[in-house]
Amino acid sequence: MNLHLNNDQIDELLQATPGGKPNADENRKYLEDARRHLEGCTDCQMRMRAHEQAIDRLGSLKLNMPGVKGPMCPPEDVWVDVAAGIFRQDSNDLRTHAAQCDHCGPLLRQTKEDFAHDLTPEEERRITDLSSSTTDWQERLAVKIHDTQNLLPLVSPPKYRSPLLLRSLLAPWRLAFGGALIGLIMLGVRDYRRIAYLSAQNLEATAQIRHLEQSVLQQSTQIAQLTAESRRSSTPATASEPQTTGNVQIASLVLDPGLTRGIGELKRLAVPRGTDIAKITLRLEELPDGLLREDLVTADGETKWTQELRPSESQRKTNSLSLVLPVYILTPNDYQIVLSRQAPGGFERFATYTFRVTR
Amino acid sequence: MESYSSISIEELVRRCAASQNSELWEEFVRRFQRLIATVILRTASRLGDSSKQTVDDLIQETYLKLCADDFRILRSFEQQHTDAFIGYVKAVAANVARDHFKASYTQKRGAGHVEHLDDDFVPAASDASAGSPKSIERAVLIQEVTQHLELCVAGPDQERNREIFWLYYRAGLSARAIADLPGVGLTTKGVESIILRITKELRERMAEPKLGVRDQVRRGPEGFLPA
Repeated sequence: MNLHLNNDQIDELLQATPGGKPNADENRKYLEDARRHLEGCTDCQMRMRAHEQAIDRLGSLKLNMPGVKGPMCPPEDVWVDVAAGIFRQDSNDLRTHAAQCDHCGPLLRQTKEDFAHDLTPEEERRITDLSSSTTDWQERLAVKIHDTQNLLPLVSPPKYRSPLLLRSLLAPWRLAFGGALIGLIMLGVRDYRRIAYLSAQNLEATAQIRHLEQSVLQQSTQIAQLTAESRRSSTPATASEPQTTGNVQIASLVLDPGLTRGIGELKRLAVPRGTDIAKITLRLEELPDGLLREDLVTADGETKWTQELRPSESQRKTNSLSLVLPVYILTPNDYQIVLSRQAPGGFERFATYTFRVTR
Repeated sequence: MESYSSISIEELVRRCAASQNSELWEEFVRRFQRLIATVILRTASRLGDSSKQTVDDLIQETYLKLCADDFRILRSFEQQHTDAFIGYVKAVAANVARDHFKASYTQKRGAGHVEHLDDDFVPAASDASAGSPKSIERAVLIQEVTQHLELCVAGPDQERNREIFWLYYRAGLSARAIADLPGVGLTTKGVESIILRITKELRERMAEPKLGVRDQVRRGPEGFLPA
């Protein structure tokens, strides 16, 4: 019967380095037998080569340098916190992202390497050579920090003024100085008038700002009304074409949760000219109980919109939520909508939606 | 004189924040010197200038940053675990170095300065850019590995195990570095064992399709004959 190496035996041959010393005589004999079989068997040689190629291909997955930054990549400083083991609410999401991203994964690796405790002999030598490694330097810095600490709580005590001070103030040269001072004060009065005029203008501008704030408030109320109306409607929109509601133009989009790996997969919200409102329907597998929060975040990590809500019965039936936004905040960009639910320590993220706005 | 070399990091941090003793600060500087110097030296080497002067200056800046704002950082860490403080010191050191090089690059390039480009300038696609032969090849490989990987991970921890696999092979993190990440909840040995198990199964799946059906039939039962 023609017997061949099985996968475990191939595995052991692959793990055994040519110059390595097997632990036991029995193991050494076993490996020698396997090698001898391999030398004479073309089938097993072919299988061995295929396994070696698979190892090489897995090894080639590693990138030495970070790739191109994507629209969903967080700011680079984030990886310093993750690598340092500093707990963040979004630690799990960040880890998942780093595992799938050719830009952030290598950045995390580099930072982790910077934080590793083991030093190479070269690093050891360079650190020993530093001035900051000398006791003298460290003592000087300690004194500097200590002095800073001493200075902090010190508040100057009020100075004691004796009656003699008043008499000395009446000396002739002091009177001359006083005269000059009065002259300066007169000039100051003239400036004061100018300041009073500018203050009046300032007041006028403040009034205008208040007026504008009221207009914004009115607009916000209209948006809130539209949000409420859209929640009452149980049928989610399915197209990204603008709809007309009375005289209000609405662009709509339906999104499913999950991270988007490529630009091609991004759903697009086209906002035609004249559109006032964007209605984004978020589909969910299950709608959690309690208070929810919707955050609209740009690719740069800027939060553009936040609202807290309790889903209505109709939303629970359809397992979907609607986000109604004024289009002026949706400038062309890539966005993420983050849904969070209330948890004991604050809000906890449970779904993420990504999309792109085009005009 | 009291010796501070034997007190714990938590105690040292607590006492430094509360008392005005320069000897405590000497111990603090001495204790964290190696850690801060390591992070600064590596970050500076990677970002360009790791001269003695620059590294010493950045080390000093890190200490001053830790003491800034009336020792707020030290006070906030009084009640926390040692590892948390060490992690924070690392993060402060790395950010000090990165901010320094970011600022110096901005100065060199000139803020607000726009370089002139010819109208017919067409940038060449680099190897890393989407659409280059290398990146297409890479995308195909990732897709192939993903398909095999789906068959190799199962059970309640499949999501975590899949992440560990990619962090190891794609991001290039060591098993120890993965185990150290917040939320992984495994020892280095645990991570190594997951990687070994998945790699073995994945390698077999990647290698076997290369052998034709004819070869499989010809090969017969496995288990070689000893010499």
